Amino acid sequence: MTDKKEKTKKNSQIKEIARRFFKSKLATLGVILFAIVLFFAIFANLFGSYEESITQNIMEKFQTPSAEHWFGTDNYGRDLFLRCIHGARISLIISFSASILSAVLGTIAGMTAAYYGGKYESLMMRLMDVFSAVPTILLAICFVAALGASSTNLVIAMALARTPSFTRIARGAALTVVGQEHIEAARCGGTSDLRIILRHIFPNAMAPVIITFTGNISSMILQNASMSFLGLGVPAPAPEWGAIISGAKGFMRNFPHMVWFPGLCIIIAALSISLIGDGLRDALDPRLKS
Amino acid sequence: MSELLHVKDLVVKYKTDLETVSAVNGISFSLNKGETIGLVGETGAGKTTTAMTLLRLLPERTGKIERGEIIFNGENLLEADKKRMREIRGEKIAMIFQDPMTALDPVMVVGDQIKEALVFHNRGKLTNEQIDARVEEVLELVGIPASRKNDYPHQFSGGMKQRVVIAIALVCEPDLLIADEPTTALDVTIQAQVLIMMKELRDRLGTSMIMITHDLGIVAQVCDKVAVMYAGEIVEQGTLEDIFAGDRHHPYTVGLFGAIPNINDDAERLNPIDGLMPDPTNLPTGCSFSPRCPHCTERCTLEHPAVHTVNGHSISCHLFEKEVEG
Amino acid sequence: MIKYVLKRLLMMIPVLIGVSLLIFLLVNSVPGDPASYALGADATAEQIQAFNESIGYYDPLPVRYFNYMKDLLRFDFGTSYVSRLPVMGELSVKVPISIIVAFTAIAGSLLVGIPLGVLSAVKQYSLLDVIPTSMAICLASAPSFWLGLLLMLEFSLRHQWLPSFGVEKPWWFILPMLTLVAIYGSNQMRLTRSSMLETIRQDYISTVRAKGATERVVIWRHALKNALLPVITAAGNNFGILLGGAIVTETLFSLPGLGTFIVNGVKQKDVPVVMGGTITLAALFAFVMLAVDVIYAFADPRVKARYKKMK
Repeated sequence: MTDKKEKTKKNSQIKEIARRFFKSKLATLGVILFAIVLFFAIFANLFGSYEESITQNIMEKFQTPSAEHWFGTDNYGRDLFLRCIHGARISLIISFSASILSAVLGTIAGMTAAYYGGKYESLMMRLMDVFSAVPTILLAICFVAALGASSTNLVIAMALARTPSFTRIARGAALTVVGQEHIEAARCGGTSDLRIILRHIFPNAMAPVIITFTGNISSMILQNASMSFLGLGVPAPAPEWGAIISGAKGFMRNFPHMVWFPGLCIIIAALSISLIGDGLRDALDPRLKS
Repeated sequence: MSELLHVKDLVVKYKTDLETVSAVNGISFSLNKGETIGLVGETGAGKTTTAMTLLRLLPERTGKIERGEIIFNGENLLEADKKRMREIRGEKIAMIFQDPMTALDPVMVVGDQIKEALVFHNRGKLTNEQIDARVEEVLELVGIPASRKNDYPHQFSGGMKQRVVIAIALVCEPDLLIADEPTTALDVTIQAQVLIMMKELRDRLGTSMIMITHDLGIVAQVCDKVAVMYAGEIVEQGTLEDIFAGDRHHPYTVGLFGAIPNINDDAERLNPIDGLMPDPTNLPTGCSFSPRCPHCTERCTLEHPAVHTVNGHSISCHLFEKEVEG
Repeated sequence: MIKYVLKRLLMMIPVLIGVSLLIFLLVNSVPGDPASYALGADATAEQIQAFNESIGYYDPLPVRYFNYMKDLLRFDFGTSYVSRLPVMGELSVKVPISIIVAFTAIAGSLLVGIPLGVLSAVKQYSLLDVIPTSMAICLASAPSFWLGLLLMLEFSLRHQWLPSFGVEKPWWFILPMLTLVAIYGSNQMRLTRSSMLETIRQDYISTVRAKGATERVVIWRHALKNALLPVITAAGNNFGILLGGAIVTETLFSLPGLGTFIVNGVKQKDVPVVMGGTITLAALFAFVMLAVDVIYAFADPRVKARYKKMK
């Protein structure tokens, strides 16, 4: 009975957030752009297989955009449109999994730090201080170098490097409820720590974590591209956007399309998600509305 | 006594893309020099909007003055240009805001914040030394040692901050002082101190005052006239005696007081008004108090009541129609 | 205040030790042994053995860390495995370049970002807001290497006005600066804008208006002063990030800065280079953040009062 009530209450809350979200034109634009990127990422194979996107075809190299090759071809004659949409797949998978991983790690670390306090908390927070004493991209490069270059290790490296921001935010949000009576009451009543954290502390930390999470994805897209550009990302010949641009820079004087298209792909992907992130922030935090 | 302020049929709406909020719906009142009028009502009744409209400080994009006149010293403020309004603000009409904790610029010493008001309206009349002297004088006037003029707001307690806010408002000796719930945010003991001080200063300077409050005790202490606001309208208006001692009242006023002897035989003590204020984006067709009114008739839900005045005591309610005619 | 600064300096020590430990573990986990990177592919097994012995590579990991830290206490950063040059000497060349790059980029982005941010906040919803804001959102989503390449394409390849790499003349810094200012300037602009919008809504701004202030006084004397506080913090943070995190821009324009220095060290398992570079970077970062906090305290009397209380 109460569960049902709670559920309807939650549903109407979600509806209200959605209403506020779609009220913003920019947020709606973000959703549309993201839907386009997602569409190409999911249905990339309809346009050509992954093998096709990495198979060289010297006969067709350096073609400018045409009806047959929408984005033109590169120095190995590979279709750039195909490479870009398969790149969307790689970029989204890596940035989403890295963001999810760092959000999970950071939220657990932050919530437990706030809940248990004491030595555990200070140890955790000092550890985060150490992590954030080095610029994120440098730390990610060190991690990926130590772990060895592979997509999985890249995800782990980027996630670890960004954990501190989630830890701090989750801890901050959790601290606002930790001292409250209902948590003390639950503790005294013998409720397990895990249950208290999940039922009472997590709901409080959720909104700020979601906001940071969305903002993080677009940073991850950019960082992933940067690392590929430096040759420290997804191993070649995967059509990662940053790697495509890196490979094209020697030819850009005569064939600027090789640089323009993958760059625009990165912008659209990162932009769509940061617009969604801004919209979510405003929708979840009505206090900031004018 | 000469008339200082006359507000006629003022209508203010807040318009956003999604909705229109009817904040003030055709209020009229007047105030003579040296008088104090109390604007009484619940939160959301349109009291603060009225005050901000008088200073023309409504949010530029959303706040719209639809209709009405604000005659101040014979001049219609709604026709004044921006420059003229700046001259009036602070010098002729000053305002005390509700929450002293947020009303002061946190990164400027209080002395400079008081000084600013003088400088804006100085036009070369006073020398720097005279201005500084005046700042110290007004600080002492509100009970703060002049030596604290170089302190920042965070170094003052809530009551002291409100004294600084009052000093800013009074430094130019305005003709009209608007006080928007000046004591609500303060501790009860400090409330009394600040209120007594305001009353003394008002009497000494001969300032007219609009006291916005929901506290009838404050009204009884400082006001000459009272206007009871409900959902953006003045439902009852009269002298302090009319409202506190008279026996004819708008049902909302009755509810506000909990119980007033003689008006209604079955009235109980401390009887809260049932229900909530109507949604300002969607006001009822007839009387806006009708959904909560114990005397509501079918007519009340259909027809907006006219204002019925007897000896300056006006009530906007169908109940009093016959009385006026007869 | 002085006590607070001293306390913060002391708190830096454990963080720096933590950084050294973390980075030491990471760089030693890089696959391969240092000799194979330092001596190249045609080194003999004996040469490799001799080299590894000379750097103490066969000692257990804790011993190596301990030895490194012992040298570090005497400000001896060791010698690069690859270039055989003292790390200290290399750092004294790289660090100034990084500081110059970070400083000019931040100064430039504040010069562009603050006025545009204030303008768009004051003229909210007008074209003067919509155009700069949308440009800033797009720039913030653009990868720095792509912006840099486009600038290079236009100014170096098409018109040959500016060289695309190197640091020999001051104006050779223009293109990398433009790249960084575009990105960090748009970041600072958006921050200034949202901070201004938040401040303009505050009660004390209404108080100032009710005093009869002109809009100019309201915006520049009261609102901006309060709105700048978070902007200062972000600028400090960005400065720190740029010191070592401008790797992409450094690589693209061949600026021999700290970031590239460290990354090349990581790639070649050059332990002294990575350790020296990262520890210097972390220390600089911590100093910058401390400086920002001190500046903040002078800008905001409330913060200053809090520090005084902490003693």
